[in-house]
Amino acid sequence: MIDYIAMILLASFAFLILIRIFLGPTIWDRLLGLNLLSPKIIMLIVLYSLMTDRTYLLDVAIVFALLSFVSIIFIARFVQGKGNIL
Amino acid sequence: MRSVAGHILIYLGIFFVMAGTLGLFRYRNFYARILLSSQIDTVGFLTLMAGVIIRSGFNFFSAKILLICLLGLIISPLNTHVIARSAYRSGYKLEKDDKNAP
Repeated sequence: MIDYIAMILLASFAFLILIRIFLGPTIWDRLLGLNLLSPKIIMLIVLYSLMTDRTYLLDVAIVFALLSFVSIIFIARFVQGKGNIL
Repeated sequence: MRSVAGHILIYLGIFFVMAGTLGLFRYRNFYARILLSSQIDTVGFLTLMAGVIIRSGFNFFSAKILLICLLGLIISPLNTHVIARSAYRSGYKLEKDDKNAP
């Protein structure tokens, strides 16, 4: 029960960060929101795998961390020097 | 006893995440927001993972979570640095009439 409350709180904060991504005036604000959204999803996966005792779900968290790293670095390098695209 | 300490650490991490998320809407300056993002990325993340490790004990599960902690500790400051560098090099200036600037 106490794990459910923690996961609901984390999901509501992820929703607030989604609002920040929609409101962000430039593309760097949206990138910052994407950078903040990925640790929250990792925390949700870890809490769910702790709650149900499934160890193999942690591999999904590792893959998600590496994918967010690659995507954010390539988008930031692509936008650099070209100004505001979106 | 161990379970209670784990629950307290998990909720402390959620409190840090809440502080960082509310700070995203509080400041109007981009570089202040990018400074606040470290609060979510490292402090809240590591505190919550420490709570999960204490609750699960010392086994294969906690070793995997330790790997995720190491990965997050390397990746999150790198991401923040790359975003701030991209914004600065592309000419994203500070606003002039900003009362909330630190």
